[in-house]
Amino acid sequence: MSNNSIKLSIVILFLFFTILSISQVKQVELQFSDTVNKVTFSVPVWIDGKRYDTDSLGRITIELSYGDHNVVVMIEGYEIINQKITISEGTNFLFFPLIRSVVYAEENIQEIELDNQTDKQLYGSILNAFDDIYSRITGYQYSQLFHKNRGYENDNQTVFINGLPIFESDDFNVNYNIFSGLNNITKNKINSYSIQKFDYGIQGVNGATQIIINAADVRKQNVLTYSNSNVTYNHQIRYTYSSGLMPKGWAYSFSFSKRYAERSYIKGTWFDGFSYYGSIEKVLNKHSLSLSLIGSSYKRALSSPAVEETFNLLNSHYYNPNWGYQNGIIRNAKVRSVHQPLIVLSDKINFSKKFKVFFNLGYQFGHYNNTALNWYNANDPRPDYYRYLPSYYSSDSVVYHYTQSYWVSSPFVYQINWDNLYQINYLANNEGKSARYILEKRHEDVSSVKYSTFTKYQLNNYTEINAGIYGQFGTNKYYKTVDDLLGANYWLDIDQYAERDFPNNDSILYNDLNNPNKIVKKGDIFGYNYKFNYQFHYLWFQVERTFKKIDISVKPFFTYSSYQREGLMRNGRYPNNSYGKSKTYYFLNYGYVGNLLFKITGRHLLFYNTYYKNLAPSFNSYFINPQICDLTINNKLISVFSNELSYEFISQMLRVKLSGYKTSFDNDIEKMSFYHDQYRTFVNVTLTNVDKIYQGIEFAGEVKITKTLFFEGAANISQNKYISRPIAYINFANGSKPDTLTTSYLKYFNLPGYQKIVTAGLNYKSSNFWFIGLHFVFATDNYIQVNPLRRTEEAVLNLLPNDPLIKEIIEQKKLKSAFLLNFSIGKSWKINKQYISLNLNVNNILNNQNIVSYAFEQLRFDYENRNVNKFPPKYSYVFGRTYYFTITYRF
Amino acid sequence: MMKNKNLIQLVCSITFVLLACSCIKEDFDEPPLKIPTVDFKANTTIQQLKATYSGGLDSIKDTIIIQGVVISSDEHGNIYKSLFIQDSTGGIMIALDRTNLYTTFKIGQKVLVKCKGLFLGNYGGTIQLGYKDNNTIGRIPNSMIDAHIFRDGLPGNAPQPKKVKINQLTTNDICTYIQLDSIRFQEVGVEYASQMSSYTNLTLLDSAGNSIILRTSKYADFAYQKTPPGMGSIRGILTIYGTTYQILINSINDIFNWNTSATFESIIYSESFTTSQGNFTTYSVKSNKNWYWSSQYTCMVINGYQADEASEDWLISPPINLTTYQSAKFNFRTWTKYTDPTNSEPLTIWISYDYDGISNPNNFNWTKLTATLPAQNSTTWTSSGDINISSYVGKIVYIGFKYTSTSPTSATQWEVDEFKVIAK
Repeated sequence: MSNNSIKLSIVILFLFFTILSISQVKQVELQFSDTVNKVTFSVPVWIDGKRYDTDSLGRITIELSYGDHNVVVMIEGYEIINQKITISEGTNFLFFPLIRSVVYAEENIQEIELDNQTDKQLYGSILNAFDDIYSRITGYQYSQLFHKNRGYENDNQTVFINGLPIFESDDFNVNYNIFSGLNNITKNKINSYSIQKFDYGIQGVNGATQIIINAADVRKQNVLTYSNSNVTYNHQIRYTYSSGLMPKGWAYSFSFSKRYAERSYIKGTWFDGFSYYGSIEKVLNKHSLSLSLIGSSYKRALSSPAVEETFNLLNSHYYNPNWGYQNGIIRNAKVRSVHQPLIVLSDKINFSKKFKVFFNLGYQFGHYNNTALNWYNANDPRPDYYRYLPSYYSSDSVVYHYTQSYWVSSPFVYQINWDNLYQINYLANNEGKSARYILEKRHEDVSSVKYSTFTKYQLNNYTEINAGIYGQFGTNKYYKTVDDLLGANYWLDIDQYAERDFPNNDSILYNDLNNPNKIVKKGDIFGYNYKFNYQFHYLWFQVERTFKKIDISVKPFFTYSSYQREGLMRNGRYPNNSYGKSKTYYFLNYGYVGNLLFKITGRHLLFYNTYYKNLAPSFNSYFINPQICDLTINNKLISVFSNELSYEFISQMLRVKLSGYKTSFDNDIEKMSFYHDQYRTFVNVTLTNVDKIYQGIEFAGEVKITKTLFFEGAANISQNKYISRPIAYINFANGSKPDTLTTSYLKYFNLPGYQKIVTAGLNYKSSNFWFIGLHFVFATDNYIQVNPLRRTEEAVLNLLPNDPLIKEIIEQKKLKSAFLLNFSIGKSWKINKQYISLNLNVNNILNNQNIVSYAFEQLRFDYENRNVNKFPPKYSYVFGRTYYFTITYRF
Repeated sequence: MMKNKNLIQLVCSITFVLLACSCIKEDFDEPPLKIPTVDFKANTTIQQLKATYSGGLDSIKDTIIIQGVVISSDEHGNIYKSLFIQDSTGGIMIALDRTNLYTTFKIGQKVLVKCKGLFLGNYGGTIQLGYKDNNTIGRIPNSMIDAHIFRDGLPGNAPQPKKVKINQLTTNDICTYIQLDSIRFQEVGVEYASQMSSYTNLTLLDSAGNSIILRTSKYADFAYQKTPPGMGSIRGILTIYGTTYQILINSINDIFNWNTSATFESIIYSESFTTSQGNFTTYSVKSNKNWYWSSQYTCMVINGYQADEASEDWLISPPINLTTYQSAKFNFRTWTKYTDPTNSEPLTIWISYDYDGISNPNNFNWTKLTATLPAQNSTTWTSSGDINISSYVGKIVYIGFKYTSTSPTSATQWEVDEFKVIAK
């Protein structure tokens, strides 16, 4: 690995010293437009590896040196332009027709949400899917594997809508809920892969995306789409109309999308969503004012990872413990409901061709909530609870086999038995007692003001200065309500876990000392109730200087954030630090991005990108147990340092890119929590001092074999590891045990995710309006997500050094390799000026149902007997054969 | 063309507004209350079932069905993974590998148990119905419970406990619901269960002084509560361990009708001199032969024979606090050998309320008390009888045993043991 890096560096240095020549420049105007459909729009153009954006008429004026240059345009729905141009004395204007691709390659990735942290990753990878050749080739193919690009977590990518940040204030993940389902709108975006240059804000180490939604900048279209699939939703119908900029300076655009599935791929899951978008824009002299609204409201029933034993018993990797029959109808206990629309007011001011200022103001509001079962002094209603499974009786083979046959005997055993929960509540009603089982709803209400202003200033022919300030501030509110009493009369708001452990202290069991023994009914708030008041402000400044052979760009940035918890309940376990406003915590951080491009020739490009930032921990990781108290961890500054060296070759026949990168995280924080039924409490584990390294080599290439046949392939070989021994801070939510600190010996353990992954495939594009593609993905070197509490002294206490149990406890399980074969076919017809396209994607055509998408060791560990199989790992699997069929009508 | 487009645009838009509504049914009908019924009948009484038990781990191979009413509840944590049922002939404990049984098996619930395939075993004298766990009786696995235990109807009223006296208990009462009246705790103000061990045994006494164990789990939700003074009633399930009867209560409400101001005599201080002289002190006024603790006889002994002079030696109790009582008495036993012809009272019993615990007792006020003492050279342990000291209630007192001899050649031997102070 490091040898390869060194070799690469030598080659690059050699090439660098060969670049020495000075020549004259010429001002040239280029124009790109779809003349057939009379459509013009802002087009991203890559000239010798540097990105330019045209105005909304597809025009751009730039300075180019005499000689050969390479022009690349990749816009979704259009044929790729990859053309050599020669600049000479007489070159003033060059026109490039945009030709609609024979098949409209619909972005047809659906989010597959699991009840865990992987859920939003998928969307992240496709947002990146263009511009960069590596992400273009891999984005779609890897998405089914839940593959995290380079292994990075989701909070390492930043996404902006018209420059407004849309990250979640409490954990820094990108909030894709704003726009899911509105593919026609969100495809109007500018991507920066990894730590490449980005002109609209501050990128993360896993890139950045700017989505542009103001009406005049959305491509003119009138499209009706119907999709049918067996993945997340069965049906989607979507209609989008965009006027483009009309003669009187008006533009409007809107889009609606209905997505629906009574049953998604996994039994017990369903989806019901409605997304909407509307924007109106008026161009007034130098100003261009727009008002946009974008939102997506959906409800979906979730699946959850489960232990291998349950999959084996039911002979399916898609067992979903979250549902059960109620009166013969499938009812899922975990339903997510989301609606967090964003309103955006924008003003673009074109002071001149060389100086533009963008003002954006946004307001986001809405809810994100999840339902789940809760119970009081009653048995665990979850059918896959470990004591219900045969393995709990593994010491007696007769009972073991009996329990096996019992567990699979009926969906009232291996799924939730709703009827039983009602009957138990009815019996409690007879005694005048509170519910034993309820369905609770955990709410997160968002109210956030966002602002962004940035400038583009062309100082001279060689220097461009971009700068901006943006941020978001507001309040998140978190609380629980009773969603369904399941036939009971009421629920008593006390902490049953505290009740047992502190029977002598009455006040400790109250969730709200201001309302002790509160009786709650449907819709009432209980359990916890607190606000998170936050401010995030970002300032960045980017100078870019273009030389004949070198482009250099430097971007320092500063961030300011402040957190405050505001408790609305006085918790009995933390009477003095749960109610009211906490101290406000301030964080001031900085970082920089440096991008260097060596234009060896227009076809041979060498990039060096460097990135550093330090950052504040997220609210969720900084507060140990924000649900009930305002205790925080000892803050240490997190820092991220990343370097990347890439070589790219572009010709008519061949385009390849090779990169080497190394990213290190220092003093990172990882937060996790689990339910410990022995102590009957949630346990919060905060790992601090987490040092991680992500390093690897990435390759991507495409070859035009014939005029119609294309080969493409990409590979990543990486090493993603922990490189420190983090400190684990363990907090028992009910206070039944004092908080403890322990060292987790995680050094050199692998981070989860495939560390070797390759894809390759052939695309055949007939001039006869049809298209066919076949790709494979092979991925290996994936490891289970380790339980840090299993790598502690306590976990191996009193074991002799040669005890084989030590290896069993400590060793990190390696997961099986994955192989996928994906197929796509499409056909278009042009009728007058209207297009009809049919598109079919069949993924995992071999129907391989044994690919793990996500695996983690349970955090609970059997310290008494050290039986690693008592709380075995949980898994989710990649779906088997899935299809996605789309019919698109453009008129 | 343009008109068509606008029309399509309008139709699409309207359609979508209609589509905005949700299509998934989420209002689930509540299932009706189900009244459990069974279509079979019991063919064996609980007593008959227990009578079939032949010792060890006994597999039930016949189609035996018993019927009973639930008398236990694990709601309050004292009873764990077991269900006690009784019929008119007796009761039995069923060991089940399931918690929170009370959510379905309420006290008063009629149940039928298909015993075939289950096992009978003996745990400390209590016959249990359960499943095998290696070669001993264990719990019925969770997965098997529904195939063996059936509810019949909704829970009825809690059965009336049988009122019994401790000394009338028989093995037939084991695993049945009983009630003891006029009962008190031997130790008042202690926690029902200590967190140091899984179970805590407390002694309950009736007015005749008969005792029974109250057995409480550390997981009981009343474990931290303190035993009350006074007396009252207790109801619960009778069990046995070895030959000791134990009572298990379902909740703290099973300690009831309690009169905390009721008074009764109790031993407030006792000393048996089994391992040492305890908190008693000795004071030698004269001679070098003193009171000592005998490891051979495990009592206090004195003999002035062959001393350097005639003896005067005191054995004095620790201070005894009578401040909270209405009446008090004490007793002990003594033994004597040899004769001291001119000394008619070699041992005398005294009481003082102003003694300081360490000094020469002759410097304080002592009042002589009358006790039954053995005749000279009788060598027979003799009980003192109760010595009433009720006139000293409200005070802190010392009780002294004063030994004298006429001369080193004319001295008796005395032994003192089993000292008890009883107060009310």
